[in-house]
Amino acid sequence: MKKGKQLKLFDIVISGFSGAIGFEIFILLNYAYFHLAGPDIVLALALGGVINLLIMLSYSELGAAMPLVGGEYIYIKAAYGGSVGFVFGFFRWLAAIFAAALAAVAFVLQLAFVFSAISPNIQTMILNQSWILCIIIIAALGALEVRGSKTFGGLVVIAFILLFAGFIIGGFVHGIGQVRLFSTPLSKGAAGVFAAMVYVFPMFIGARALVIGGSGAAKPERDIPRALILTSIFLIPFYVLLALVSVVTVTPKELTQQISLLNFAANSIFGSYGGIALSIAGMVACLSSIGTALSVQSSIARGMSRDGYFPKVLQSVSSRFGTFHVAAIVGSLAIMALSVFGAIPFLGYAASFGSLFVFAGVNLSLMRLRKTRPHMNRPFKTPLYPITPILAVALCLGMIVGPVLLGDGNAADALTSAIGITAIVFSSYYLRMVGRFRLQIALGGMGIAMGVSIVVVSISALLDLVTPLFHFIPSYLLLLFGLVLVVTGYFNFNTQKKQAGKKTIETGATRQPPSPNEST
Amino acid sequence: MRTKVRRKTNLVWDNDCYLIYKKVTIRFLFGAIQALLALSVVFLSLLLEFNLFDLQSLWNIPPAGLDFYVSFLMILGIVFFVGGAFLVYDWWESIS
Repeated sequence: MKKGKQLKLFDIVISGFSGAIGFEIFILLNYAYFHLAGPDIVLALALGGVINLLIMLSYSELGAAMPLVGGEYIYIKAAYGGSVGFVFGFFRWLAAIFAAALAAVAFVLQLAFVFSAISPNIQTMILNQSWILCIIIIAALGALEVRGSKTFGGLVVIAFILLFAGFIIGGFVHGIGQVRLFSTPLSKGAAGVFAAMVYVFPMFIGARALVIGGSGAAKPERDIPRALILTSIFLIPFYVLLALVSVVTVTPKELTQQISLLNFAANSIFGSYGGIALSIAGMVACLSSIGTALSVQSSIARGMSRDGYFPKVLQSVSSRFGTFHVAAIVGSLAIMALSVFGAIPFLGYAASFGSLFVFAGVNLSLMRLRKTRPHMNRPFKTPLYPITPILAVALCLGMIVGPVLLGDGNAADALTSAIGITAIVFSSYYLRMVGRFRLQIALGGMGIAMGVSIVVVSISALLDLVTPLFHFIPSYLLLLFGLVLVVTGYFNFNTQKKQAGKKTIETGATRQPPSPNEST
Repeated sequence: MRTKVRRKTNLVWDNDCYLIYKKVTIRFLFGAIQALLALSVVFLSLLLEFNLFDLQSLWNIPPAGLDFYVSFLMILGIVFFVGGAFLVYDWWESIS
C-alpha cells in the first residue's frame, strides 16, 4: 500500500478484491449448497452479485463525496449523527467480529481437510477440538496485531485470482459438458434460492473495504466509484464460474458428504493434491481475513471511542509497540468468544445480517444527504435516484427478514440475536449519554428500594408472617443481602456529594480566603 | 498521633481528607461485598438454568417457575454487580 494520496485505480481495485475474495467462498457455499439451494446456488450467486452492484452505486456516490477514513460510519454519522451513527457503527464493528469468528472456524475446517488425506485420526481430533485451535489462532493473530506486524498483502490477492482461474479452467477441461445449468424446475424452489442468496451475500460485501483504502487515492472522486463498480462487476462472473465448476464436477453420490464443496471439487479435478493445495490457499485466506477484520474492528472501535461512544481506553497506545493494543485485545477476545460457539450457519447469517443492516443505513444516508446537503460536491451521482437507493433498502430489509419467514431456523436465531443486540446497543448508548454519575444515582435509588423490600420480606419470612420468595435461599442470607443493598444504595445515591467534596479538597476551597493584608 | 499531625498542618484540610479517606474505604468494602454477593447470585442463576448438581430437583423448583427464578436472579445480580463495581471504581479513582 502506497503512503499518502498516491493510490492509482489499480491499487484501489486490488484493495477491493483483497476485501472481497477471502475465506467466505470456502465455507459459505457448503450450507447454501447442501441445505438451501442445491445446484441453483449458481443462480443465487448471480442474483446476489447484481444486488451488491446496486448497493455499491450508493457507496460510489458517498465514497467519492466523502473520501475519509471510517467509511460507512462517516456517511451515516454525517446524515443522522448521534444515536443512529452509534448503532450503525456498532453493527459494523460487530459484523467484523462475526466475520473474523467465521474465518477462524473456516481455518480449522480447512486444516482438517488437509489432514483428511494424511491422517483421518488427526482430522477427527482437529474437528473435535476445533474451539481450542480457534482460540490459538486468534490469540496468535491478535498478538501480531498488537505487535503491529503486517501479515498479508496485495500479492496474495493476485495469487488467489490466478489460483481460482486455474481451478475454473481445470473444471472446464475436466468435463463441463455434463453440466445441466439451472435445473428446471428449481431443485429446492425459489425460496431456497432466495435463502441461499442471503447466506452467500457476504462473499460480495468485502468489496466495500476499498472505500476505506480509497481515502488515500490520488483522485478519489474519480477512482473510488470506478473501482467499486469494476470490482462488483468482476465478482459476479468470478463467483458464478467458481460455483458452477464446483457443482458440476461433484457427482450426486458425493454430494451427501458434508465437507467443503470447493475442496471436494478441487479433489475431483486435480486429485488429492489439488484439494490439499486449495485447502492451504483457504487457510491463508482465513488468516488474511482474520488479520483484516482485526484491523477493521480496531479502527471502528477507536473511531467510536474518539467520538465518546466507546470507552477512551480503546485509544491507548502501547508504549512498547506503538500500536493500539487495548482495541486489538478487546476485539480478539470478542472473536474468541464467538468462534468457540462455532455454529457456522449462525455466524454466516449473523455476518450477513450485520452487513445488510449497515447497507440499508448507507442507502438511507444517501437519501437524507441529498435532502439536507443538496449542494454538497458529488463527483458521482447514483443513477436512477431515488429508485436505486429505495430498491436497495427494500432488498436489504427483505434479505434480512426473508430467510426467517421462509422458516430457516439458523436465520431466525441470528435475527433474534440481532434484535437482542440492537436492544443492548440502544441501552448502552442511552446509559453512555446519561453519564456515569446519574447512572450511579439511579442504581443507588434502585438499591435502596430493593434492599428495603428484601429486608422487609426477609424479616417477615423469619417471623413466619409470609412465605419466602426464594424458598431455596435462607431468609437470613437474604436479610444480609438486603442490608448491604441499602447501604451501598445510599453510597451510590450520595455519589454527587462525594464528588463535590472531592473537588473541594482538590481546589482547597475549604481554606479561608487570604485576607487583603496577607496578600500584600 | 493523628491529632499531632493535624496540629502541625492545616486543621480543616486534614480533617476533611481523613473523613473522606474513611468514607472511601467504607464505600470500597461495601462495594466489594455487594459485587461478590451479586456475582454469587448470577452464579446461582446459572447453576439453576443448567441444572448443575441437580439443583432443580434438590430445591424442588417447579419447571414452570424456573424461568422466573433464573431471570429474576440474573437481572438482580447483574444490576447490583454494576452498583458494587461503581463503588469499587470510586475507591480505585481515589487512590490512583
